[in-house]
Amino acid sequence: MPESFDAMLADLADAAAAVTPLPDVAAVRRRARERSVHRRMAVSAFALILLGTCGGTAAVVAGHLNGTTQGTITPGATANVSSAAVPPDGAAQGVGGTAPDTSGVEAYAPIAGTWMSVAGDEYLVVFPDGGIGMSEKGAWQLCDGQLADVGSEVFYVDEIACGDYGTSGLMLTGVGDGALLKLSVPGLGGSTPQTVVYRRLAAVSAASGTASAAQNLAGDWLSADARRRLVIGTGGAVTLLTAGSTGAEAAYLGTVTGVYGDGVRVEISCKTASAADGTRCGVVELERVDATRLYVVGSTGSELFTLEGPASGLIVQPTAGAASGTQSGTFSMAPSAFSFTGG
Amino acid sequence: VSDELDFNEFFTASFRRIVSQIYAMTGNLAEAEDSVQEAYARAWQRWDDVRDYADPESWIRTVAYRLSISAWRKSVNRRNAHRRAAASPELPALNPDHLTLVAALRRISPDQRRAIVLYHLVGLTIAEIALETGAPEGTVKSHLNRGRKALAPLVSEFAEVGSGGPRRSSPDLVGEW
Repeated sequence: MPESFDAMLADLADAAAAVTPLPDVAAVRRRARERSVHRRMAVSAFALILLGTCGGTAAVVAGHLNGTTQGTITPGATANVSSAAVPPDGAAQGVGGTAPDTSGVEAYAPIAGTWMSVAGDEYLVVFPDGGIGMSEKGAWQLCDGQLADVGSEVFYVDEIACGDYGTSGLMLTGVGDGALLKLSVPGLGGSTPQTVVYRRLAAVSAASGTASAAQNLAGDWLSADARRRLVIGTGGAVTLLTAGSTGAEAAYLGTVTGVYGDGVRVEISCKTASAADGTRCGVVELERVDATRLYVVGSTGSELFTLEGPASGLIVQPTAGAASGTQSGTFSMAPSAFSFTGG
Repeated sequence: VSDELDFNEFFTASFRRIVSQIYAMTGNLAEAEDSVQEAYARAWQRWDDVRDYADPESWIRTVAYRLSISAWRKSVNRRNAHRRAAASPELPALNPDHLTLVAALRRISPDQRRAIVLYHLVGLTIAEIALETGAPEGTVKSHLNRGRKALAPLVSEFAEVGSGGPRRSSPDLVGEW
């Protein structure tokens, strides 16, 4: 081994660069456009599922894989059982839309909750409406995904937004008495399939459809290590400020998109003020401990935050739909927004 | 058109360099190529913002690294990687020293390897690594120290670190560590 590690590493990198072909940049731009289309198709397909077309779930999923669902309906403005349908590309959702059927939602109740991998290094949150958050190594927030119930306690995972990447073929399966959940990643190209087994940490209640203490989270919250600040507005807008090691700050903007039991879901968008094609970046779960403390569940698990100032009110309000006879727990959603500075 | 020209120039100038850096972090060239391509595709989607970042290459590198280590993304990346690997032999220019180094890097943890590559190959400071990885500076130093200790049996330059003896007098190391 030569004395200079730096030189050795540079030689290795040069060798790798020398054999790396430079792709056609037009192909890279085309790849970006294709992925955007893929995402819209996926969201549309799952909107159909969430809207209660359970009898045709398998067909919808198959149709999506075959690319036949393009141009179908987008998620409605509101959703029941304290959760919202996933917004397309972080787009704003209107208020007062028709509340969807809830028949497809109950399927997710048995696996709703917070899960930790048996290895102890990855987390999975399953929301009552089938929304999921999965740990992404190196990121604070969870990848933002959506399940489809294909029967026999098997749940198909199509859309995973870590940034905005979509993949397919992943399956979640309940194991045993429901204490374990298995994520199956199929082998592709002759590779070995992967399996991640999660154990349940906590269940969430799908039954809570009324404004609860969990919603009374508006305020200014500070993490235990004082490196993160969470500002929750009364309208459901959430701002996360993270202090970098050099003092620079990164700001993530998100939106409360679901309320259940003792917690809320916050979706974080990659959308910027100038980017029309902004997409979801991830999701975190907030769980209220008491009047002055809450847990934020992200990629590395739960992080305790403490209220810095007085709570200022409810963060999510029932919509007119709830008042007019649809199930209580139908909530309006504020538009997503996102900005990133100092990164 | 101006956007496309800017992006073309940025892509052409930096693609191979970032692939080589991700390769050093992950040890898989085909997956590194695919992850970096994906990162550039994402950059193009929001080029109006990325182009104005202080260090767009850092953004690309961070996105590509996250893509490359994500277990569920690998299921897709692997499909492309296999296709590419079948089409071209991997690193014919590797000599025995290279192979030894790759094997050594694969034996340390991903976090240690990322810190080692960012520091020794990319040339970032401890503070810059902390900013890029989102880890506190103390954690970055720990990753670097532990990585160097683990590499010590194979890298003579790190032998003193590995034995717990005094550090080498390299100015940057004295200053940063």
